[in-house]
Amino acid sequence: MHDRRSTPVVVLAPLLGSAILLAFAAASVPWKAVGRRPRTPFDASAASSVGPGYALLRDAAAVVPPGGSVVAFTEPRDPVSETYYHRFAISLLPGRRILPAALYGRFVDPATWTDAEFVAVVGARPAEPPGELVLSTTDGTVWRRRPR
Amino acid sequence: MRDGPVWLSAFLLPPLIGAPLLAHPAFRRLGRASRAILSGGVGTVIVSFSMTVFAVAGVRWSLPILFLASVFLASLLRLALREAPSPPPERQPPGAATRAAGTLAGLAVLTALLATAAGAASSSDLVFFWGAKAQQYAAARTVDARFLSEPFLQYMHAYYPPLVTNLYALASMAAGRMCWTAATLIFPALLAALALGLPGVLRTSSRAAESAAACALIVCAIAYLGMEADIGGNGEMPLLFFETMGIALLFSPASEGAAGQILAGLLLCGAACAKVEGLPFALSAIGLFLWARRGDAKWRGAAAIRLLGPTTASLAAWFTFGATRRLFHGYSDGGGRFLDLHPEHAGLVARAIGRSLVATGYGLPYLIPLLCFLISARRLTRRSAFPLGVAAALIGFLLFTYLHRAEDPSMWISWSAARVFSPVAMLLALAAPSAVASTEGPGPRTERPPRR
Repeated sequence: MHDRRSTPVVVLAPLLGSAILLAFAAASVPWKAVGRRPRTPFDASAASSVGPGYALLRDAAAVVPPGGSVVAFTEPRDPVSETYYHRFAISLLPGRRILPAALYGRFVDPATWTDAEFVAVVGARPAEPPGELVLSTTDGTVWRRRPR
Repeated sequence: MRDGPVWLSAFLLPPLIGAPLLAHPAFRRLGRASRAILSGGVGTVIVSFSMTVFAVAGVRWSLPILFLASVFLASLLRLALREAPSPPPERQPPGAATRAAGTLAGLAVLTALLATAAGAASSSDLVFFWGAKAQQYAAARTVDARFLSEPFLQYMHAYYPPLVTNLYALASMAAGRMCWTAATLIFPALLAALALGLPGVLRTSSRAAESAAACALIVCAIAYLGMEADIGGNGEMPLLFFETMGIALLFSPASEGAAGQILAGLLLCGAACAKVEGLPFALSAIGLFLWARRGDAKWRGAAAIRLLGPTTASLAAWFTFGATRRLFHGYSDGGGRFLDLHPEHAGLVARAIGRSLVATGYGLPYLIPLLCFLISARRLTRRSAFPLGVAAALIGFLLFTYLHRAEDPSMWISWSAARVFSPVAMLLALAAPSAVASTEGPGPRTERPPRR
C-alpha cells in the first residue's frame, strides 16, 4: 500500500520541521510575562499600543452608567487611535451610547459627539478639563461633561 | 472573576450535541479521541445553525431550548445513517516517532497557551467586531439586526457568516457577559482539539507514525503562525479547525460511505460558516474530492448532496436573515461589481503578500511544510494533488479578493495576509504524506468507490 523506502523521510522531515517551528515559537513567548495575569489581552502583543485605551475604557464601565453617552478621545488628538477607541468603547461599554470622535482614521463633525455626557481621554490629562473628573488612572481620565 | 471559566465551559455543550451522531458505529474506525473532538465540531455547526434559524424565525434564544433543538437535529441525522459498523482502529503501542510527534504537538499547544495567556497573541478584531457582535447578540438573545444596521458600525461586516459570533454569544449567555480574555484562549483550546483529534482521522489513511508526524507539523505551524499573526479570539482558529478536520476526513476511507460524507459535509460547513474564505475552501475541497474519485455519476451526485447539503442549508438560513432584515444580500458590502478587478495592482499585491508572509515568523510556518512536501514527494499523485489543488484555489480566491479593491490594498494585506493564507501551510503539511501513498484517490483503501 505504501512506498516503504519513502516512509522514514515522510516521518522524519515533518518531525524535524515541527521541532524547528516549536523552537521559534518558544523563543517568541514573552517568558517574563508568563504566569502573571496581564492587565489587558494586548499587553505583550503587536497591538500593545492600544493596551492603555483598552484598560481605560474597561475601567470606565464603573463610572459611566448604563444608558449614558460617551465619546473617546486621545491626548493629543489622533484620528486613527480615536477610530480604534470608538470601536473598543462599543465592546467594553455595552449598554451605553457610544459616539464617534473619528471614523476610518478621520475626525467626524464635532456635532456628532457634542452631546456626549462623558468623555474618556486616553493619555495625558487635557489642558482644558472637559468637565468634572470622575475617573483618573495611569491610562487616562474620564470626565462628566457640564450640561449644555 | 469566575466568568471566564464559565464562559469557556460553555464549549462543553457542542460535544454533547454532536455525540449522538458520532456515537454511530460507522465512525468506530476514527477512534475515541477523534470522535469526541469531531462531536464538538459537529455540535458547534448544528447549534450555530439552530441559532441562525431561530433568528430568521424571530424566536429569542434560550440555552435549554437551543440545546434540545440541536440534540434533536443531531439525533435526526443519526437516524438517517444506514451504514454498517466500521472496525475500531488497531491497538498498537505507539512507536518512538509517534511519541515524539505527540510530544512536539503537545509542547506547541502549551507554547500557544502560555503566549496567549500572557497577552501576546490576542487579535484586536476580537474586540473590534467578533466579540462586539456576540456580546450584543447575547444581550438581545438573537442576531441583532438593529445593531448591525447602525451607520457608525458598518465596520462590523454584518454579512460575515455567523458561526463564530453565534458560538461566542452562546458562551456569553451562559456566563452572563462576554469574557474577552477567555475568548482569546479559543486559539490554544482549538489547537489542542486538533492535536487530539487529527491523528485518529489521518491514521485511517496513513501509517500511525506518518499521520502523527503530519499532525505535529500542522499543529506546530499553526501554533507559531497564530502567535506571530495574533489570532487569539478571532475567526481564524475555528476556521482552521474545521478546514483541517474536514479535509482530513475527505482523505479517510470513512469518506467512501454516506456517514463519512455527511460528517465531512458538516465540518466543511463549519469552515464556510466561520469566515468568508471558508466557502471557497469548502467548495474547492468538495469539487476536487469528487474529481479525484473515479465513481459513477450517481455515486458522485449522492456524495455531492451529502457534502454540500449542510453548507447550503446553513448559508441559505444566514442569507435569508440578511435579506429579510435588509442588511445584506450575499457576501457583499454593496460596493463594486464582481469582476471589477484592478490588475494594475498585481505587482503591488504580490510584494505586499510576500512582505507579510516573510514578516510572520520569517515565513517559516509556510516554508517548512513546503520543504517537507518537496522532500517527501517523488511524484505528484491525484491524492497529493487534492490538498495542493485546494491550496491553489484558496490562493486564487485571496488574490482575486485583494485585486478587487480600487484603492492601494497594501495596508489591508499587511494585517490580513499572514492569517488568511494560514490554511495553505496546513494543506502543504497534509500533502507530504499523501504524496508517497500509492493509491490515487483521496481515500486509500479502494481504487473505486463502492457501487450502491
